[in-house]
Amino acid sequence: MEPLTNSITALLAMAAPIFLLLSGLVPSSWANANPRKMASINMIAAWLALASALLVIALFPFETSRSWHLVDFALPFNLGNFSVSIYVNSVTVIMLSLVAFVGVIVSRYSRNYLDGEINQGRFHKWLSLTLASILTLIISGNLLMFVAAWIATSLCLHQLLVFYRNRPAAVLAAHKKFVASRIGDLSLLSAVFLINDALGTMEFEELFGIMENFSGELPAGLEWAAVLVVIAAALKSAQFPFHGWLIQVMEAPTPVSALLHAGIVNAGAFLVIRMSPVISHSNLALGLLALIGLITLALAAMVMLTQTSVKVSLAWSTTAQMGFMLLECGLGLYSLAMLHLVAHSVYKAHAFLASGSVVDGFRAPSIQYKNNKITAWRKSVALVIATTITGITGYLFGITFDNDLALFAVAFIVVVALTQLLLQAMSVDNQTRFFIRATILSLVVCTAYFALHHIFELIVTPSVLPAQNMTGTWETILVISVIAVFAGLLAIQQSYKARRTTAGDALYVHLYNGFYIDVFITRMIQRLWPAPTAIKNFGESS
Amino acid sequence: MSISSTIALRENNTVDLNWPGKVDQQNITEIQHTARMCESDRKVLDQQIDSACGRIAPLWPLKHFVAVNPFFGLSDKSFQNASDILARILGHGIYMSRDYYREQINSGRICKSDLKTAIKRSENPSLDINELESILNSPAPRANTGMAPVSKILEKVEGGLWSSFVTEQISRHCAAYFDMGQATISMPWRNDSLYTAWRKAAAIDMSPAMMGLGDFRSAVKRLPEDPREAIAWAIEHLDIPADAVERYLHASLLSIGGWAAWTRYLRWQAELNNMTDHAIVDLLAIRVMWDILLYEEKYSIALAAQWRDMLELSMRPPSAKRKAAAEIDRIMLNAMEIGFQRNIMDAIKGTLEHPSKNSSQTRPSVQAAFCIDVRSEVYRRSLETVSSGVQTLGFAGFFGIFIEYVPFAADTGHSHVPVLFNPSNRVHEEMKADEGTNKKTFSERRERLALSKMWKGFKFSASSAFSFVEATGLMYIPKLLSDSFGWTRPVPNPVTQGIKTSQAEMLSPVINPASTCCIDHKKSGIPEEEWLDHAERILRAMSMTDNFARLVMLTGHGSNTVNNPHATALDCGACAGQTGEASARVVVNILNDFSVRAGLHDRGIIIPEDTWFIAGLHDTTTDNVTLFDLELVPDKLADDLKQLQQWLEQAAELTRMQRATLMGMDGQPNKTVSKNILRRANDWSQVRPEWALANNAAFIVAPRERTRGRDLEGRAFLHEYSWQNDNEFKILELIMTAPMVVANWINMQYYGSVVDNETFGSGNKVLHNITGGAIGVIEGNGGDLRVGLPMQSIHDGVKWAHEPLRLSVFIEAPREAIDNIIEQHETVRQLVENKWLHLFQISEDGSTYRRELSGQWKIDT
Repeated sequence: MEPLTNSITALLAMAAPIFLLLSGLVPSSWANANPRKMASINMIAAWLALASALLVIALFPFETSRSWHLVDFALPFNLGNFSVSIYVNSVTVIMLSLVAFVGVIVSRYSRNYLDGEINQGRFHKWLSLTLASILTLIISGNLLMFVAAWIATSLCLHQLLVFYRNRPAAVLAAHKKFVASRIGDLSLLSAVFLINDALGTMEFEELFGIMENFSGELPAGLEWAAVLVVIAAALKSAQFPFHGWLIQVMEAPTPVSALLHAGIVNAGAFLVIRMSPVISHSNLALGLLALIGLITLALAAMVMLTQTSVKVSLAWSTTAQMGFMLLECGLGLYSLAMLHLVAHSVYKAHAFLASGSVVDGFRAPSIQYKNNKITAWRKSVALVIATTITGITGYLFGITFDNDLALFAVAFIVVVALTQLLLQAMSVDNQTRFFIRATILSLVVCTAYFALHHIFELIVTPSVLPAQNMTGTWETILVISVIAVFAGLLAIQQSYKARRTTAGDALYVHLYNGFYIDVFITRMIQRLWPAPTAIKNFGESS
Repeated sequence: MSISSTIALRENNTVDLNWPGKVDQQNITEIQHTARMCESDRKVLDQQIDSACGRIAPLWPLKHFVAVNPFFGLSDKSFQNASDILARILGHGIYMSRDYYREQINSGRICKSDLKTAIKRSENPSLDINELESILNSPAPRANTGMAPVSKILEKVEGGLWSSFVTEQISRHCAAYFDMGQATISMPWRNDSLYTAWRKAAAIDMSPAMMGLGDFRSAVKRLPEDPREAIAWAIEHLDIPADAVERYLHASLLSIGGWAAWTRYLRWQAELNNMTDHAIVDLLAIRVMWDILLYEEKYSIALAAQWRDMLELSMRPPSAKRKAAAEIDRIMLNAMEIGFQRNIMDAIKGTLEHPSKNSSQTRPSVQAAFCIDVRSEVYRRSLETVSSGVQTLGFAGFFGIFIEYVPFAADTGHSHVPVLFNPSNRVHEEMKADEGTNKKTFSERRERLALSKMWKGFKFSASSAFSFVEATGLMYIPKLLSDSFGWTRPVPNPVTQGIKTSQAEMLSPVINPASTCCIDHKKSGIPEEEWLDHAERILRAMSMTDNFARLVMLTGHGSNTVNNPHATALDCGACAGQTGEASARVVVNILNDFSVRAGLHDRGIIIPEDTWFIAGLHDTTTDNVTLFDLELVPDKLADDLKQLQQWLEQAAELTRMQRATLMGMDGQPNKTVSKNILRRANDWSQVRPEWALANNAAFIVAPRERTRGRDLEGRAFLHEYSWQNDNEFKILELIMTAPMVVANWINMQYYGSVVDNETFGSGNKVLHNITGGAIGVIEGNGGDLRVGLPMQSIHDGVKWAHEPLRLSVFIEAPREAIDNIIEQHETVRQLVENKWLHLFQISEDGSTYRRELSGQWKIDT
């Protein structure tokens, strides 16, 4: 019985991308001529992929990992072994069902949303191929196969990003992404070869096995590989200073943004989690990851607050959230990062798809809130309550801070968030009754947080290699920085509410412009590798 | 104020001059120019600025979007002149392409005889029809550059993306300044004027420096503080010839046309309250400052030369060739309009006898009044088909009651009257329940709304957004599913947010002072002593003074869509972009009042005792009609009511079947169509939930008998009117100055969005990105705010769903009466004589007379 379920699991995992690949193989001309049919094919394929993914969940025992080799061939010059192999562990299963689910929602949405577009068929074709590539990436058991899927995802997505080739802004943003992706590809590919060079394997399973039992100084090659993986992840996840493209790809239809923000940018964190056997051994890589994440989240979260259009604001939020996820990875909190990845995906997919509803919020009965001034005394009350709630809930879920500084940082972040929630309640309404309701809500939020943390810890831990030797000083510095950043974010936002200062005014302008980083990067890229020109609208009469 | 600041500036500069040390050349020329400008020049310039600002049409925000004639500011010009002026600025006029018109000939939409008639009426009546067709087959003259801003000329000279950069900079400044609440941290200078705020922000903003404009920030600090002063200085410096100034200013505003329209809206609102708003002048100044700053910092001989050439070219009158080409466009547009008018005239012609004679004899079983909106035409026809005893009539959907409506538990209300007017009474919404329940639900709703505001703050704060995701993000898994299947709405319905469905069903406008209203208790409701006057005025305006049915239904309308930024554009324009049931319910309330009935009796309007008024809402997306306050209907009318409800259901189904063809559902059985249309209404990915007013082309002011039984294909606004009952033609005057103008606005909004969607439409819905909370949309990443209608509202992907035709107005009234009103009202005269619409008179025997430019009426066959 066991081997049978086993091979069925493998088949099902493989089936998911294959369904979408088949849908993507439909020729563009037929697809464009039969857009409704193509949309249906795309949707059916997405449903089948989701069904396969859910069956894998049902069949797969969560505490193990398995892999299957199908085809194997050696590369020349001893470069390594390329194989078509499938690697299934709990991370695979979660990612597979997540992306398949988002795929279903996005395909369904595009069917009516793009109705009447001349290239609707082609859109569904490339949507299918993009989804197929991500799903392949997720099940890849071989590092080279992983890289191939990684590159394919980016190339297929490119076709969706330049869906409107006549829009110069679309072409420019896609080009920026193209350049960033190619640098990322190069980093990842080099990392893979370095790993093979050091360990003689390109299979995730073997890699895990070897590194699990490894101890001592990491060889230089692997150290480099770990750093290169971090760079690839940062580029994929639109981290500072290469975040510009993510902000600007609103030039593609809304469902593309939803897919991109829910299913593709988070591939950076997925890569890091997959590569945890290597990265967990490198304090340099972990530190770099945390640093990039922390800087990005601090800047992007502040910039987000100043943005005036819904999609741009959401994009900055994604950049910040990705930064947070990489920070968690850098702190060795892989299971939290995984929770964040899944929760953020579905949240952001919804936020984009529902971005046309923003106006409804302004049509609702308008109430003039008092915008109460919050005294220092009230602020301390909020802080004390938030700390108490977090402390008690955390304790009940068995979290102790004495031996893990990273968890202390995480708990502090929760305290800051709950304080913000309570302060928000105070500024909206100063009745005790309302404040009590807000406190109860804080308690619910906090409990949900720790419960989910706990569940993901159980699910994800067997699939990752925990950080091996996070040393004292470095970790202390990092944790202090995290605390400082979050305290700072809370303080800055509150101070903007409280009063105006010349420095605050100036900072506002810089924030609103995203610190000009993208203007600069754009000019650099345009100088070194200019974007192709947009194709003029064919509708114009000659 | 401005004079004294001029002097102050001059004095300051003189002091500067006396300073030892470096005085740059630029400052000296600046002073000389300012000094040269004498008082009368400034006056002229001020007028030119105001006139340029007046050329821009306003843009209403998405939270209550109404149709606007994009050529509103040009109505003092003839249609052709306006087209020429715009062509001198934008590079192209406001006609469809020759390809389009050729297609209309090939498909038979434009027939030979219509073409001949159009030629005969043109300025070139001897033109041969074959020659015309051969000209149509040749390419039209190439588009001009038009009056381009400096950024565009600079692009030509040295390449780069200057135009989009400048647009982006200004657009982002406006978005930050006017933001209604998208940003959590808002721009600090929102209490300053738009221009001052810009000077302050631009003095800090390093983006221009990043683009290579190193001196920009210090140059901004040197700019005059007064916007008009600044414009004057720039115009001198840019060497704009005197005769080109107004066009240059108009072009400058059009180059940032979306935000110009928004600032024009702010001025419109201010003017309604007898104030004024100067943001539009500020915006103009910002736009012109960008021109001059770019010009100075990027100055080259080539730039100066091309700039001069452009100014000269755009001031040249149209060449003979272009004039001839415009004549062709004009003929083609006219030919299309003639074809359409012929259909309407054929429909009317059949009704030879005087209609009102036979109608007054039998008592109709139901009278149903609908909004003049073209969507009502289809439904009314269906309802009359279902039951011949139903009499329908058309009237502006706010039913003549000027209210501001305050939703239950809200602090502020919305205007529910046409945007040409101000509301005069504030009416509150309350529950039909005792005071205790009302007060309790009232505070519950406020608390729920406050909680949701607090939650939003938690979700979008820099410090808590991350924990929000980890703790609650997974809830979006079921949410995505249920929204995707249309079981839930992506966000709460604004009408019922914070209140249970059962409670929402009990909400109703109260015309007496509201018990839950706390601040201006006495100001709420409509004073009882005014009721009778309102009742009489409204009934007379509806030409409804005798022969009342047992049930009289007043039906407002509203749409039913989700996740649609332009949702309010589908609601009732006469109710300022709100749904129409509140106004209908208020009027019904007054008309059912016993003492009002008695008063009406004294004033000669006799409403039978068994007549009951009932309010309804026509859902234009699904074509269902909901009736309100049924519990108040007297028992003896129970059967009539039941009958009416049955007819309404049948009419709804019939209407849906007619609309199904346009929705691409032809051939499906009734039930499937109904199901599909309902599904579209709840579909968050649907970009064409309904076709709204697409294809509107006629406005008919006559008794319903003139058009009853004729299929007008949902293309006509129908206004009930019988001139015999109109004392001194006061009602006609009202119709021609208000509903006709509104119909023209709607008609021209569609026209503009079709002929030039780039400038007067809002582009592709798939790329819409809502800006400033609920101000408007931008397309994609950025760029200017967009006005008008999205492509999806006028095009089905294969062909246009709207024929761009000017409105054809048909009025059944004596010609002299119509002429008098035209003479008395400048706005009406402009619309008619500048050819912004066509005017016809329907005579007693059903024949029609066309009003020619000379003011002569000519029988049309």
